[in-house]
Amino acid sequence: MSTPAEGKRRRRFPSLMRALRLPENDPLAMIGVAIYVVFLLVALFADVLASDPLEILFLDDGNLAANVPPSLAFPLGTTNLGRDIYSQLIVGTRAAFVVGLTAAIAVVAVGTLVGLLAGYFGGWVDNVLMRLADIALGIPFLPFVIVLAAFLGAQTQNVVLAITVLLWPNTARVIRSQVLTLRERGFVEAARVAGSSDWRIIRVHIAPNILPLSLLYGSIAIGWAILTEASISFLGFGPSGSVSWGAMLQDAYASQALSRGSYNWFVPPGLCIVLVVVAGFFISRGYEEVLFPKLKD
Amino acid sequence: MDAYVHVRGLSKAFPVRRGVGQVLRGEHPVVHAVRDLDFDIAQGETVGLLGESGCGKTTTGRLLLKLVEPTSGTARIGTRELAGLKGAALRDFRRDVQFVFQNPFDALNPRIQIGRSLAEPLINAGVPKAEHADRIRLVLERVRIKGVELLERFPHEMSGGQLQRIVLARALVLEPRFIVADEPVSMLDVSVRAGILNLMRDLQDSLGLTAIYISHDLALVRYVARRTMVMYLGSLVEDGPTEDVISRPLHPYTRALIAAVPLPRVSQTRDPLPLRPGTPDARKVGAGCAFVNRCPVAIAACTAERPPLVTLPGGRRVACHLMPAATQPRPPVTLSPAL
Repeated sequence: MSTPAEGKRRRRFPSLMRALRLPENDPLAMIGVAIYVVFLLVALFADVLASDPLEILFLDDGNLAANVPPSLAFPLGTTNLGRDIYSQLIVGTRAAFVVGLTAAIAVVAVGTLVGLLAGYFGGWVDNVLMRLADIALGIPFLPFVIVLAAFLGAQTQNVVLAITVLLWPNTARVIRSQVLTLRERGFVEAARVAGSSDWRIIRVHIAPNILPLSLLYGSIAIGWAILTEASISFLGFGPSGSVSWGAMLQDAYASQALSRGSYNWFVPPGLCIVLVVVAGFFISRGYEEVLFPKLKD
Repeated sequence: MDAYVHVRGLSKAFPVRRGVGQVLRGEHPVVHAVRDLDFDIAQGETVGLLGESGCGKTTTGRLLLKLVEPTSGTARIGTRELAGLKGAALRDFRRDVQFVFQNPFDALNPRIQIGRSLAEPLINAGVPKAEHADRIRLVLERVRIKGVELLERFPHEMSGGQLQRIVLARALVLEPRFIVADEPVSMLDVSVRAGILNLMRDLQDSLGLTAIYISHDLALVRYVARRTMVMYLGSLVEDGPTEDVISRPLHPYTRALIAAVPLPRVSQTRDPLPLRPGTPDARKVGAGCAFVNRCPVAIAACTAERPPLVTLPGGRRVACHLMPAATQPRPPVTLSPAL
C-alpha cells in the first residue's frame, strides 16, 4: 500500500522524467538521470570548479609539483609533469559531454530519420537506405576512426563524425522495424481515411510512438561515444592539447603511472567513464520498461 | 441508372511470396482477393456484404476507400472515379467517404487524446479552427456521448463501447455521405453491440447516409441492411433483398451459410450442412466456379466455366450454373429465433 506521501516522495523530478518519457518510479532510471545531471552541471561550471588543467605547477620550495599525492591543495594529486589531476578530471567532463551529446544527437537524428523513411515508404527507398546501413555496419570501428583522424585531422568534430557514421545504422534498423509494425496499425489507416498526408501521419502518428526507442538508442550512443572518444584519445589520435578522460588515461599510461602506483591518476577518469556509460545503461533500462512493460515480470 | 456507388469489374490480386522454382521460371503468382465485382448502391441505401473469413470482403471495403489500388476495374462514388484521385480531389473524397473500423482498441492513436483524434479529420479538411469545438460537440451528441471531459482522455482510459462511439464520431465529424463499416461490432461485448448498431441505424436514417456493412455475421447484416450481397472467394455469388436472401437463398453457398446458423437448443438435431468437405483457397481458384470444390450440387460445367452473375426477374442476382433449376422449390430453411 502506498500512502499519498510516499507517492509524492517517489516522484523526485517528475517533469524532467516526463519530458524524457521515462517512468517516474523507476529507481535505476532516476539514478542514471541523476548521474547525467551531476556530470552536466560539472561540465557547465568547469571553469568555476577547476583551474587551468594544463598549467604546470610548482611547490612552495620552487620544485616542480610532480607526482604529488592527493592533498588539500591538489585533491587528486598531480601528474608527472606537475599538472593538477582534479582540474583535468573536471575539465575532461566537458570534452566527454561535448563529444558524447553531439554524437548521440547526430546518431539519433540520422538513425531515426532514416528508419522512419525506410520503414514508412518501403520499396526502393527502403532498399537504398538499408543497404547503406549494411555497408556502414561492415566498417570496423577503431581502424575507421583512426584512418579518418589521419585524413581529416585529429579534431573533435571528426571524432563525432566518425561515431555518427558508424552508429546510425543500429538505430535506423530498430526504428525501421518498429515503423513497419506501426504502419499496419488501425490508427494509421484511420488517419489516412481521415485525409492525413504521409508527412502528417509520420509526424503525428508514427514519430511520437517511436520516440522512446530513439531516446533509448540515444542514451546508449552517449556511452558509446564517450568510450570511443576515450579510446581515440588513449591511442593518441585525439585532438592534441585537449583535456579529456581518455587523454588522461593515455598520459598516465605513457608515463607509467601504474608501475609507480599513482592510482589517484588513472582511477578517477576510468571511474568517470564507467559512471557515464552505466548511467546510459540505467536510462536505457528505463526505456525498456516503457517499451516492453511485460519484461518486468 | 444513377447509383451512388458504381462498381464494375473491380479486381484486386495480391502478389504471393515466390518459391525458388517460381523465381527461376519467372512466375509471379498472385492471390485473387477480389475478382470482377459488379454492383451498384443507390443513394441512401444500406447494403450488407456477407462472407466468410478471407473471402475478400475487407479488401472490397479497402478498395472502396481507396486504401488499396485495384488491379483492374473501376469504381465510382458519387461523381468521383476512384482511379487517379489525388491531391485536393483525394482530400475532398476523404470528406465524403468514411470508414468505421473493426477494432476500436486499435483505431485510435494510443498516445493522443480523444479530442485531438476527433479534430484530425477537421484539420485535414481545412475546417477553420474556430469551428472545431462546435463540430466536435455536435458529433458527440450524435453518437450520444455525454461529457466534454472525455476529450481529454486517452484511448486506454475508455471502454470498448465508448471507443467505438468515438470511432463512429470521427467518421461522422466531416459529415460524410458514404460509410464503410467493417465488422463494426465484432470486437465488442455482446451487451453493447445492439446499442452501437441501433445508433448507427438511427444516424444513417437521420443523416441520409449510404452505407455498406461488411460482416461474417448473418444476424448483424439482417439487422442493419435491407439488401445483402454474399461473397465467396473474391466473387459475388448472390445479391438481393436481405429477407429474400435469407428465406429463399438461391446460391448453394448461401444455403450452406444459412444452414450453418447455430440453433438455440443443444438437443435439437440438425441436418448435415449442404457442403462437401474442403477448405476454400483463393490461390487455387481455377477457371470454373470458385465454390466448385465444396458445392454439393456441382455439375461438369461448374469446373469448366465461371458462372456469370445473372439478374433474375425481380432484381435478385445470383452466380450459379444451376440457376434455372435452383429456383425450383427446395426444402425451406428454418431460421432460429435467435437471429
